[in-house]
Parts: sequence; structure tokens; C-alpha cells
Amino acid sequence: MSEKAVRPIKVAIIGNPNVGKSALFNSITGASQIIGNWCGKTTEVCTMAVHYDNKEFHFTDLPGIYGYGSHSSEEILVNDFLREDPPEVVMVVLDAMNLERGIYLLLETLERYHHVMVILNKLDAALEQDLIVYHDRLEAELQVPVVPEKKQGSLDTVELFSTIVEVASHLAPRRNYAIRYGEKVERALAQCKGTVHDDSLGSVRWLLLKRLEAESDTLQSDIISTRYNVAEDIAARITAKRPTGDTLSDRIDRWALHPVWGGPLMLLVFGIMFYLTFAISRPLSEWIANAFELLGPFLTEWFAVWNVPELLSDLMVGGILKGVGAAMGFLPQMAMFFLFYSLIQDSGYMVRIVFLADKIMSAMGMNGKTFLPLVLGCSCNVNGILASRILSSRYDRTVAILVSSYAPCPARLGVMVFLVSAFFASTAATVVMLSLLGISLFLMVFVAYIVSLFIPRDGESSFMMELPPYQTPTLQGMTTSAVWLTLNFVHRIRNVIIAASVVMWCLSNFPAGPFEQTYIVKIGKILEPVGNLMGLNWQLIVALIFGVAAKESVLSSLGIIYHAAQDSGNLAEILTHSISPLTAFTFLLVYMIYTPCVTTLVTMYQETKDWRIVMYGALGSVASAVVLGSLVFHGGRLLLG
Amino acid sequence: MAEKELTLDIAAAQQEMTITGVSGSQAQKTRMLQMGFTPGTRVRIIRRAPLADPVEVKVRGTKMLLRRDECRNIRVASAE
Repeated sequence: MSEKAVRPIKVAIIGNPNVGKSALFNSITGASQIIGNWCGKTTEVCTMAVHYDNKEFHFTDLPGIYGYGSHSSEEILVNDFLREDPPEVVMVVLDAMNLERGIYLLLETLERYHHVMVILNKLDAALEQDLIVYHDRLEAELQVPVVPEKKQGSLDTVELFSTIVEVASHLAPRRNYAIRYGEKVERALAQCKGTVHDDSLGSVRWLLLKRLEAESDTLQSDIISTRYNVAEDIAARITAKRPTGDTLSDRIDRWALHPVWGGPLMLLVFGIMFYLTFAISRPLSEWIANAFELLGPFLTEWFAVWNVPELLSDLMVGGILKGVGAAMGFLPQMAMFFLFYSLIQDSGYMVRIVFLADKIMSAMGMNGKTFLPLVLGCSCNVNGILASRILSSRYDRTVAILVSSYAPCPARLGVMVFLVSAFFASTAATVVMLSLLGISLFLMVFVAYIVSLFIPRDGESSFMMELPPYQTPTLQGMTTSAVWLTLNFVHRIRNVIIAASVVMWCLSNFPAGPFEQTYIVKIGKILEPVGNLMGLNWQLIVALIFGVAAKESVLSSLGIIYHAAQDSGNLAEILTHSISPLTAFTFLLVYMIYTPCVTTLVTMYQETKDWRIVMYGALGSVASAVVLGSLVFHGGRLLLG
Repeated sequence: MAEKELTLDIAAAQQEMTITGVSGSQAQKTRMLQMGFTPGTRVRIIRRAPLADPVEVKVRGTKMLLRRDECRNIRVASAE
């Protein structure tokens, strides 16, 4: 048994953004890493081991790049990876629909490395547009093995692995492919010959080219232009195209990106998405809530039979089961959201949204892509935070995460609508609601500004991106990613939900006795001086504390605190008698901004792994709530006399 | 006949132009060149977004989205 057979073959997957690297990676490794139509989707490097024919292969999915520069974060990441862990095989993925850019990257790869192979995909999509790509001609032109993928997921495994083994086992490395550059470049190359040596980083010629590129703008432009011209010629030689008019994608874009109708159409798409999300998920949520409600008494009885101490049984039923039930009630909505999210992403509409919203968002100090997390944050802040993954720079992502936690989610809106309609007549109520939402919009801009003080806004970050044609997403791909994302989400929050339920239960049940004696009321009373700044009494503060666990629980806790009967009409009446409209308005304002719910905060941490951002999300919001609340309360008192 | 040079941000929509050069910071220039905005390449503005920014252009057979600031760094001449 030779040692060579034991060593795994390392394969690095390289390609332009959106070329289908992740899809290929998934079909080879069988993993359910999400397939996406979005730049910057593969933000982390993912390596998977695959065993085939008694050999071990390590595939690495690298972020999409256009060349081996050192300017964008993706390029730096790829270069670092290739330096630290040189692969045996460099697998370049080419998109048949976007050949010139792909061949450009392939040419640079061939100049750099010996062990290169090509996967040519999206041949079916090209054929649909009367574009035929001859993979054998590409093979002949560049002397590089090409494995065609006729339809997505139809890659010939035998051919794939035998090609990898063959490329990896080239005994004598082939000579690198060399492009004949212009006289100026070739002369400069000859001049600095002998100053660098061949190493695992790449061939001498490529290293020299990189050095020239860095030294002179003219040479860089010459080198890249020449390489692109070669790519253009090769692309022309390996394809046959029948001239076609506008594609279906072009015709859709005429409406979807229309200067006047594009915006309203986008809002309509969001509207339908929200409507369907709630229409479909609400009955399911109710069903889950009912199931948990039925489970409660059943469990209590069952615990009694088994002589479980009453306190423990109460903790299980009144604390954990209730908390978990509340969280599970959100699951259908979350799953629906993930389904639509995949639809928007996989179809290619996401990039169009960025196109339509970028100007408005950048006026507010945010990236155009932030629009999506913000809108989705209105369905649930957690969704907005998860959607912030589409942003690549740290500044943009932090802003998107913090801003989406200010988006008015249905739980918040529900409470707000109830209280506003209890305190104000219809016209006043509309003004109050709109002013509350206006204030939260203002806060979002403010947050973007605050973040820019701590995280430098990456001036070099470029917006430029490709606008790929629309794709028909597969139902299987969509449901797989929806289910996977939902389960992943449950897995990540379950411990926190249980812990939070236990804490809330303990605070509101100890010390045993009347509710007024419990810790939570004591905490409320301790915080009353702060509340007084904003005109809030301890009752309202306790309600706000309950709201941290789940925003919608503010209403039910107000009910308990003010001893309201189950009937909500009663609560409204009691409240209007106990607090003034000004206090109510201040309370609503504070409620809207003081802090996102625990689930949102946990998701914030999960997505950033940075406690400072979570602290800002929680404490920064509390601080701004106190400041704004005091201003509004005292300002209001002055104005109203 | 030498055409007057202008930048892509002020080019008329649907007009076929030829790139004469790119400017901007080192990173911006490299990125634009790598994405195929090399001198001599044909480029055409397809449409502008609702507030005239960003801009959708066609280059090298594919469509790209660029902010107006980015277009300002691309010098073009009318392609005749």
C-alpha cells in the first residue's frame, strides 16, 4: 500500500460569482449548503471530504472572483487559501451564458497553475437562447480537460472523478499556458526575469505579471485587456449563436425595472409575499398554539400522577411549555418566509430589488441591499437579520442587522394598533401610528450614522455587480433550503428560548404569593425613577420587561397587572382610565424602540458573533428609548400645558 | 475621426459606446478591468433606475449594474 493512495486529493473550486460553484459543490458533496444567485453568498470557505473509488477527495468551495487581484475581500480570501493550502487540482467553473468573463479567469488560472480542469455548466440554459457551446473545442484550444454539465445536477460522476485523478497525477507538470502580450509587457517581463522563482503560489510568468500589474497602471491595463481579448476570441471560436431578439428575461425586466412601474411592482411583490405568508401560516400557527394549550392541562395531570412536585410541574407547563409553544407558533411563518426568500433569491429578483432601491437607501447611509433585510424585518426582525447575510462588507452588514431590528414586526404592530385605537380617535390614531413609524425610520438613519463612527465605511467597496438573467427556481431546491433554514434556526435558538422562559417564569412566580410581591414587580419598582423620566409607572415598566421575552406578551401582562378580565375591551377601558394619552403615546414610542425581543437578540449574536453589536442592539436602543421618551413626554407636557 | 470623449454616466441610453479607459482608485480600476471594462470594449446603457442611479449597462454580452459614481470612472467615446 503506497502512501500516495492515502493522501487526499485537494480540489479547489474557483469561478466567477453566481457561476454555480455552490450548486456544483453541493451536487458533488451531497451537502445541503444553500444554492444562491447572489454575490457574496459563500462568505466562508467550506471544505468537504468525499470518498470515491477508494480515494479521498477534499473539495473546497471558494468565494466568487473575477481575477487573482488583491483588492476585494473575496480575492484576498481566495489568494490566502491558495497560498496556505495549495490544492492538487484547481477546478474552474465556467458559465456557458457568461463565457468571456469565465474564460478570462480560466486564462489567468492557466497562467498561474499547471493542474487545472474545467466544469462547463448551464449548457441547457444557453441552448434555450440558441447558444451552442462546444466543450471539446475549448478543450482543444486550451489543452485543458473540460467536463460538461448539460443540465444542472447531471454531472457525470465517473468522468468527473477520473478527470480529477488524471489532473492530479500529471507526473511532469505541463508547461503553463502563455498568452502573448504586447511588446511593452513582454519587454518588461524579460527585464525582470530571474527576480522571482517558481513556487506553490504560481508560475514565474504569472508572478512577474502580477508584479508588473502592481507597478504600472498602463501595464496593468495592457495585461488585462490583452487577456480579455484572447478570452473574447476563444469564446467566439467555441460557440455558435443564432442572433436572437429580446429574451424572456429582457421582456420581464422591461416591466420589473421600469423607471415608473418598477417600484410599485416591487411593492406589489412584497405585498403578495406578506399576504401569502400570513394567510398560509396563521391557521398553522393557531393549530400549533391550540395543540400546546391542550398539552398543558394534560401534562399537569400526568405530572400529578407521577407525583412531580407542583412547583416543578408548574415550571414545566407554565414556564417552559408556554415559552416553547409561543416560539413554535412562529415556525410556520418562518418556514413560509424562507420559502419566499429562496424564491426571490433563486429567481434572480433579489438583484433587481437592489437596483430599484439602491438610491433611496444610499441617501440614508445604507447599501441598496439593506432594503431587503429591512422589508423582510417587517415580517419578523429575525428574518431581516438572517437576510442581512447578503451584505458583504462589515459596515453594511452591521447596519442591516441593527436596522432590521427596528423594523415594525407584526407582534409590535399588533400591540401598537390595539393601544393606539384604545386611546385615540381614528384620525388622531392614524397620525399617531404614522408618526411612530416615522420616528423609527429616523432612528434607522441614526443607527447607520452611529455604526459609521465605529466601523469605517469601506469607501473602496464597490457596488458593481452582474445582473444575471432570471432563472426558474426548482421547487425542490426551494423547499430544501426552506426546511433546512427553519430547522437550523430552531436548533440555534432552542436553548435560549427555554432559558428565557424559565427566567421569566421564576421572576413572575417568586417569591410565592400575590403577583405584587414577585421579583419582576420589584424590578419594575426599582426602575420606576427611570420610568418617571418618561412618565411611565412601574406597571408599564413591568409590561415592557415581559415584552423583552416576546413583544406581543406586553398586552397580556398589562392585562394581568391591571387585573383586566380576559375580554380585551375591558383592558382598553381600564387603561384609558389609568393613564393619559400622552403617557400612552410615550409608552408606545418606548415600546417600539426600547429593545428587540430575546429571539432577535440571540439571532443578532449568532449572525455576528460579536457581543458589542448585540449590546448596542439592546442597550443602545434602551438608551435612545429613554432619551426620546423623556423628550416626547416633557415636550408634550409643555405643549399640552 | 476622433469622437469627443465623455464618461459613461452622461452617455445616452441605448447608444453604443466604446470604452477608452477607466480611472479611479487602484482597487476600483482593477475591479472594473477584471470585470471586462477594458479599453476598446463596446458598452451600452440599457436603462437607469427610478432615481437615475444605479445604471444598467450591457457589456461583453452580459448585463451589469453600476452606480453613477462608478460610471463616472469609465471614459467612453461614441462607437461608429
